[in-house]
Amino acid sequence: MSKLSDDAINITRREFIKRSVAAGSAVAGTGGISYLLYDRTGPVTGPDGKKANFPDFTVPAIPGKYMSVVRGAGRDACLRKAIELLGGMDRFISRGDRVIIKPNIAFASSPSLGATSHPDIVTGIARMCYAAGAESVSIMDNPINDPAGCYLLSGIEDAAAQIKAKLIYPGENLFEKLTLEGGRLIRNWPVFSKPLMGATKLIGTAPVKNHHRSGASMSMKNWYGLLGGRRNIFHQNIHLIITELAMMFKPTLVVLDGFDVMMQNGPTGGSLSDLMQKNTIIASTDQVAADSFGAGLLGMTVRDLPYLSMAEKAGAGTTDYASLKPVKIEV
Amino acid sequence: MIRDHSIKRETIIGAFILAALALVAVAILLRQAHYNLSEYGLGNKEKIVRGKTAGSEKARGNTFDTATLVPAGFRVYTDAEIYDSVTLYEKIDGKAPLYLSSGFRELVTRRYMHTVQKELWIEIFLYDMGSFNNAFSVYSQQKRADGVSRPDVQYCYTTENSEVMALGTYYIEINGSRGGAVIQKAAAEISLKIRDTLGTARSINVLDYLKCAELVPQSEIYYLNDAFGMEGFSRVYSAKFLVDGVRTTVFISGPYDYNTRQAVIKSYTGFLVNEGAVAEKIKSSVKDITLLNFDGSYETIFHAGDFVAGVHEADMKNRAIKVSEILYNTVRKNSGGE
Repeated sequence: MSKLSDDAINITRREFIKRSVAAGSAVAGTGGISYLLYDRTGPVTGPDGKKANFPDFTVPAIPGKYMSVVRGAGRDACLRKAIELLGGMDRFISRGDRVIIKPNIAFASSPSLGATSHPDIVTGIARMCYAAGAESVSIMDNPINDPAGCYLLSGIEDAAAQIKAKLIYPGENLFEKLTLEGGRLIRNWPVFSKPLMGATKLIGTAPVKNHHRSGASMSMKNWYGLLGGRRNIFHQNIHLIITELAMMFKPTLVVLDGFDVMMQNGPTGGSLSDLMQKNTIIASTDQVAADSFGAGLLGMTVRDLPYLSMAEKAGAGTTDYASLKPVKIEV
Repeated sequence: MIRDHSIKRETIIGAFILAALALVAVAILLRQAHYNLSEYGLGNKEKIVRGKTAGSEKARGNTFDTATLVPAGFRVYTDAEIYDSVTLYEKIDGKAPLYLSSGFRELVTRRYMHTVQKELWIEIFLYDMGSFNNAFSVYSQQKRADGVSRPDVQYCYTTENSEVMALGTYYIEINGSRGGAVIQKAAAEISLKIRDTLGTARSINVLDYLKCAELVPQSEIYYLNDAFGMEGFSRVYSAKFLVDGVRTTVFISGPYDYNTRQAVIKSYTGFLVNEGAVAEKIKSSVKDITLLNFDGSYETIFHAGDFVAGVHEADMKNRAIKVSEILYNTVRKNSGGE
């Protein structure tokens, strides 16, 4: 007979009960503690949370220089002209500024498919910022797909290396749970915020795209890429979340890329047939105005995109872009 | 003596196991308290594999081993990515609801890169939609107007950089990073391999009821839900009829019994009237036709055999009536009602 069998035989009833009770208590205790500590909800909206007090990145207004629309053959030339018409990058960027560029790099997609910000726009903006005296230029996004894949396949990684801009990956330590004052959705919600707190200027740039859920994805929808957590739940209330994002971020400038406009099957597209060449760059200090103009590139009106009027009511800008007397030229 | 040794050993082993469990518990607690927000709740993050051949998902019981779909001159570029109804948004974000409302089961994607020209790569999207009708629904709703239909495959078209089809229970997109002959040739090769696996496309019987000289080929769309943006208007087949040089949208839904057809017609007209449409009296050979003027465009709806049929957004009243009559006669003829 084995030693184990000897032990089993020698155990007393009292000992057996004692051990069974001890083992049972251990299991019950572990289960109980796990039950008490289990976080069923994860990061969800709630009443508590640090206030979303992002810096106001805007610069003083100059009458007649709120918005420019440039049409032409090349992205870079149109971009430069659009910025020049607003007073040049010197107006927006001062010596020593730490600039954040927020492109739309949501998908691990080729730049030619129009689902992400074109590298030429990002490099163009970054170069102008450096030329204006920026101390640093960083690029940040929290993509839908894997960040490494998105940064690589969209061409943004190569672009950043080329212009010596810093690529900021959405590491967990860079998020904070924030609550937007007056917001209904952004409450105690993780936001990719920390790099913005150290920045002095914020430039948003996005391609003009059709969007199955919101109708269109442009400058305002682009801020969705700064949310963390299970943000897809906001698709149920897409117009409100876009409005709240526009309330939360007051950018220095937005640049809307309407060169190869995704007219259908957005936001991902996939076929070159989804794109239509419109060869247009819009630069504006008013993100609502820029998107209201961009709606026209998609064959839509302000009425077709409820978030535009909602953002206007919230004070994020004007849908009446014509009132800003945008400068429109062809190059 | 033997028992004392055993108890001591058991105690040591027990203490060791408890310590290990305590460590695991602490690790879980720490992890839970510090979410990796970029990954929280995300199950299938894609992994870019630079220059490495990735594994196979065949073991998961999928129809395709995507590693075998690699076309000549290309190599496997990234791992296969598999998404279910919970994680689909991680891949296609805002477009996920279209698939989720159409019976989506699983998406498998994978990229292949040209062995010489690194900027040339192809990504395949294999959406298992659960049935051919579901697959056809998402295929038809996203069809690119300038897509060129393949003569040898029923529901398949090509564009400058992609090949798209509905086959079996799958909706399939093969998208190149850019256009050109190399991508097109490779996409065609992948497409052929997929068709060899899935067989020939099935047709949808209801669409046969629309067959007539006026039917614009490849214009059919199947809406599982909320056709034309009208909540509750489900399982609707639409197509274009070319009449007097103008393309007009027609639709049918059914077959239904009389009471169901009446309910559908009542709901449809009620929706439009609530939105501001005004009913107009007309003379037509179509029995019990309802015509509504909706902000200058015209809608009709009527019984056609066992179907509810109608015209959507006709540009003129007379055209709405004429196309309705053609549709009415077509459906009745094709269903043996005439």
